[in-house]
Amino acid sequence: MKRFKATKYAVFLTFAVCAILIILAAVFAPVLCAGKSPVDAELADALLPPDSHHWFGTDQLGRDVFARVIYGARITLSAALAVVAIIFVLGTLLGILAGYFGGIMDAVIMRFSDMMVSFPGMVLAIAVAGISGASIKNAVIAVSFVSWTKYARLARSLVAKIRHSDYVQAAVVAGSRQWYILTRYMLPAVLPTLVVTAATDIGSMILELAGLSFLGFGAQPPAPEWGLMLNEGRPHMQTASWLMVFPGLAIFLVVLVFNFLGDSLRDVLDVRKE
Amino acid sequence: MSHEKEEVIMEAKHVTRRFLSSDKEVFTACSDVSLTLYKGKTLGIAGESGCGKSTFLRMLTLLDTPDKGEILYRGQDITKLKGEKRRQIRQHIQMVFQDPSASFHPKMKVRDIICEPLLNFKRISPKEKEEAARKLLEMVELPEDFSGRYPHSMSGGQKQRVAIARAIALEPEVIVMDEATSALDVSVQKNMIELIVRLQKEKQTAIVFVAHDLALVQSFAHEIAVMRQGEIVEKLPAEKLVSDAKHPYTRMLLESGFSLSGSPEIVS
Repeated sequence: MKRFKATKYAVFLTFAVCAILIILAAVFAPVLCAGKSPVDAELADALLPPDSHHWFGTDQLGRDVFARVIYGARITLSAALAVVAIIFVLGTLLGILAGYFGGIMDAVIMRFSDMMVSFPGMVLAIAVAGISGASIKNAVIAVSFVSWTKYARLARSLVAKIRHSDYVQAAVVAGSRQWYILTRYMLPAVLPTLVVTAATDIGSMILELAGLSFLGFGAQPPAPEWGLMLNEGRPHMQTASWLMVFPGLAIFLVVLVFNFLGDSLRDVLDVRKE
Repeated sequence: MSHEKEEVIMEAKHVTRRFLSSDKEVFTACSDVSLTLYKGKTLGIAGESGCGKSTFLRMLTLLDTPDKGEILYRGQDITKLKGEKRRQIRQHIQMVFQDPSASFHPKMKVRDIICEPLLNFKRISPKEKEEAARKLLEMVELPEDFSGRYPHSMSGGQKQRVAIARAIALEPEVIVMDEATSALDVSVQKNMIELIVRLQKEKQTAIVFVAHDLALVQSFAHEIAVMRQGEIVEKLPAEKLVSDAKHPYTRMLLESGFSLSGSPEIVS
């Protein structure tokens, strides 16, 4: 039993370290790329295959693909983390309120969330891009808009489950204020599940945002964004496969790490305290 | 019954509570219930499961609101109170729940649980928590080093003592106990009743004790009300229960309890 517990922590720590390494790579991109710019074109060096100088080769404008992949982590990670942070906070808050107060508050919040889920995320993103222009910021807004509902639903059902339990009623009888019950009783009850969901969602949000950028509704050139890079590399797939292989590999690895991180976090948090 | 000299703390007058079931049928959980609580006395309410005892208690503790009737605390109808006024009344009416394993926050330590009411009403500062917890644990006869433990590492009887400690923390005038001993072993039950009786004598608390076991209620209550299908069928002083009970349902409850002195009829 103890051994199993230890393994779980070890697995979690391994992936946490991987995730931190990825974040550090994004933060220290200039150091890693030894001063190479991800955006400066050098047409003389266009479409060079990987070698010791350009580890991942160069693209059609002669930009170093390694630098673009590393710098790309900045955009991808910050955008995905922003989405997850927004939907986590918004969804949890609205879900707890809906579950705790019930009645009209519940009806309004949940019908609003029903409306949101009836939009496919991509379609909404396209609409937002059409109205206010394609940018990574608008992609973040569009994806957040349709994704918070999952958190609200989860939080609501978890709160509804304990709302009428003896220990919450006991807290009411003991004269606890509503704010205190919400923060000390409801929030801790929903947090572990929602944190795990958020951690697993980082991966899917990276994919979603990369997908939007690939279609041209997210990051705009010359920004180094992995989805966008895939799209830019697409015409050269036969002759310069490295243009697609390395950004694809980056997406694959980062999504994998964050998914595993979420899964191992679930195993760790499921342990009952004591 | 002579209540002339006794001080009325709480009064339920013609309290009715109905629920709408899923198939639109009206279910009356409490129908025209009128009961009075006196200072330092125990009112026992007996009746089978589903007779409306718990609904009545939920209304006494302001967890539910009656559809009709009023509940007076020292002459004031508390069912109409809202917000902060409603919260303030709670310090006079505390409750012990039936299931000791479900009535505490799973991640709170004993000291935080029993000091929660005190902190809610700012009776103590967070710094005085340790001292207050020690005193309360002493009152319910638990070792003081329990204050750092989690309830789920304790026995049922110990948990229920913690629940009582929480209920007496504010020195309320009324403590409501919903089947507070029915989840415990018989031997532990007896200790718990002794504790309740002692605390009542010290603080002159009015107690409402609800149980399905009439014999248990009769052993320490001053007055007994028998409830059936949402109605009070009979109300008697405890000492006259056996001799004066007239309602057939009360008689049935009296006879349905197991007794050691009786001959083993079932066997023969």
